Amino acid sequence: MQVLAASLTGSQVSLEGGRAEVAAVELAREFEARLAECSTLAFRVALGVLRNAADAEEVAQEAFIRAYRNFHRLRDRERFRAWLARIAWRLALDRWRSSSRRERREQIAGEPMPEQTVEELAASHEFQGRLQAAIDELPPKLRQVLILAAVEGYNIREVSHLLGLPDGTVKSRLHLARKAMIERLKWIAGDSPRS
Amino acid sequence: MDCRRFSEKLADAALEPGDVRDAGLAAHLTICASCRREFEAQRRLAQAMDIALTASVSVSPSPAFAAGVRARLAEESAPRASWFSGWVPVTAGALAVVVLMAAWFARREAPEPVPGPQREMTNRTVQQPMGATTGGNATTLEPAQPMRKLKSSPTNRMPAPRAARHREPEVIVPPGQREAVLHFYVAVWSGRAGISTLVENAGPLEIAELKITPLQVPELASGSQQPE
Repeated sequence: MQVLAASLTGSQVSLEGGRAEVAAVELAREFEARLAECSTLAFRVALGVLRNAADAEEVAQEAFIRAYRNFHRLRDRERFRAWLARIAWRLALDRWRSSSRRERREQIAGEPMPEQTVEELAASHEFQGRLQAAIDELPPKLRQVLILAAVEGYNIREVSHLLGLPDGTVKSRLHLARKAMIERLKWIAGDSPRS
Repeated sequence: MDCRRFSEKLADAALEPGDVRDAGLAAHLTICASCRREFEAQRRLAQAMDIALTASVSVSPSPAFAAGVRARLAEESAPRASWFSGWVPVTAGALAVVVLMAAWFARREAPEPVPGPQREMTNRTVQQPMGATTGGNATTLEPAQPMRKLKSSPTNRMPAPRAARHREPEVIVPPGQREAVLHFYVAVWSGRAGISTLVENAGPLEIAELKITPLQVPELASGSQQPE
């Protein structure tokens, strides 16, 4: 905490002496609380894009560093979750674009899928590969809503809060995203799973 | 068949949990086995998708994650020298060198202290007997003999004006009057002539009477014709 406070002192250039110290300590304490609260969110958002825990941890870490650097500029602290989620999302997308894993995942998509129950199907490596390939083909807006909805347990209000969008918009985008996903999965899977 | 008409509604309904809300589609599904199979297949696919999606992001970060973030933040917090801090001593040193050099040059260019009497003589060089050198229309008067250097005393060690050191008396005269001016100058300097002598030798000021002859305008000939 002392270290964080020392760093944030540099951000509060307008404050002087004791006031700056107090403000920096308060800011550091607040950031520490946010860190504990939102670390899983940042990680999961990154994981939703990258599908690799190690990569997601690195991206989430970088997201926190960037958030930390600019924390003093965030006027509405209640928006920290959404702000952090957006940072993590952008960083994850950047890494995803530069990664060659995407091509490898897309190669999985062409393989035939055996008949399974819903749970078996969902847990199968093949299905998940195809699912991710289908997600990658989604338009960015739809993909963002779909992944954030999964992160937030399909809570429309939470997603709309994260994205700063009306509930109706999020609901509509989520529906479109899922529909597009089903179309792609149908096309990829061929046969539907048995019950 | 109504199957094509219901295909869009079927896809939408498959994504929604629970019973089919659209009465028309629900009725169609009861009578069309093909659409019912399609509906159930899509719904299960949607369920599998949701399960897989949720599972894919329901992973928690490793215990080392938070520690890693804090370590990175601590690195960020470590005091770092700002980019200009290294330049401050360099700039200050360079500035000091420049100032010292400027002071040295200024001292070198400044005139050496001239004793009081010599300074007086320097200022009075125009009153000493001189040889004359000419250049163009300008006549330059220079001291005929080198000035005698006087010993300086602490009291008269005053810095002379810098411009006076190189100043030479110059009189600009018309070319035809150069010799006359030189003679007059030498006469004044040797004492043969002076302001008082000139005034005494001068006669009483006489002003000649000004005579103005009236302008004569000849009369025009009356018989002359005007040009057309």
